[in-house]
Amino acid sequence: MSTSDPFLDQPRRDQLHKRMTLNLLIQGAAAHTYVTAHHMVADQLEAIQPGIVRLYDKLAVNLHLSQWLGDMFLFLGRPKKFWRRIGEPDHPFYGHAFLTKHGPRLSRESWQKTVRRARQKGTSSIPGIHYAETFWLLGRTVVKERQHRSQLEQLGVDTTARIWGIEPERLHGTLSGDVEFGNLQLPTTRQGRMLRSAAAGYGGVRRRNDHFQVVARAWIWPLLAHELTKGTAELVCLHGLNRLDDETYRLVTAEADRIEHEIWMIQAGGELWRKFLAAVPRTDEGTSQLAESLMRVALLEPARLELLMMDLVEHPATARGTVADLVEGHWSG
Amino acid sequence: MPETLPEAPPAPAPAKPDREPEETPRRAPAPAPRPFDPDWPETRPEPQPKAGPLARLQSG
Repeated sequence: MSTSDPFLDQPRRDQLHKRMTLNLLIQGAAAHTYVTAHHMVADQLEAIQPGIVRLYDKLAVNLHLSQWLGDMFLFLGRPKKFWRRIGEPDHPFYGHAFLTKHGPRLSRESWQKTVRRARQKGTSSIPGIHYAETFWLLGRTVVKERQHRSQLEQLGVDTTARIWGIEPERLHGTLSGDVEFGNLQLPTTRQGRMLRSAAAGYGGVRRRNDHFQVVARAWIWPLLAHELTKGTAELVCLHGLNRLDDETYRLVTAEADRIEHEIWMIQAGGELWRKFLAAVPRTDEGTSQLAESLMRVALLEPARLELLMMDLVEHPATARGTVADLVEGHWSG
Repeated sequence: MPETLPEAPPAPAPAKPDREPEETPRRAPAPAPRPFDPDWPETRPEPQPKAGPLARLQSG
């Protein structure tokens, strides 16, 4: 790391690592939604286009496998090697205690789970066959969705609003081949430029007239659900960034939000998110307090956030108690 | 005759409380947590959108 590295300053480095952890949760939430959302609204989807749930089932698991099997790894290097090198000073996650300790295992568990799911759904995890299936499944899905885009967009919005307990008017989802929007920073590496050309969707927030909106654009419905969740989780996690000074905010988001990091965050984030979901308390009526819980977590100071993430993996019962305390207001950042 | 100081009256025995003291709360009462407010974050400017699952390079 060069002496001009702005993250030599420890408090700023802590904030960088905190943002990386929040990104891990955000990408994990989206990855989880992507393989599960169509089951939540299977009847509505089947009413729109019979047979589409089975197609989504295969496609979602196929595309999720691409996060380990895709041709991107010709340029990025093998996932195992990436995670094995995490303790080396030139690794992008070097010094991030939680990712160093648990990132490799979370990615491996998610991969194993996805391979098992692929077997159940009758889709292949053998590289060449998987490759051909991706194109076939994507093509079929685009054709089947073509006549129903506006209905599917609305269903994506309503599903996300229900999961998060947020008003649907705040969410904007579009099915389109043209997915870029907002203030995308230009990737500084060859890998980053290649990854940007391969993105099948984007999700984020946009401010309009003092109101934040969630914006999602994606090729197909399972990805739209993924992007809507990602944008909503981002909106919630912004609560954890609003006390940073302008310079720190700019530096932290520019470094942590690089597109080169996202595939690794998707790999490891899904398993972490499932562990977080198990710790989220429910109201007396049985409603999940998801947005409140994530907001409280995002507000934690970096060291406490790291401790909670460690507990989610190592001491789930302790983590459950902590999240419950946070939501009840007994603990603060 | 030297003046003698009057003997100080014995200190009254502490009154026995008629009920057990309340247990000290484990935690100080916390202010009600601020509920989730989507328009509260006030960040500037909004972070760039995040890319979704990456499909094949050739498809981009």
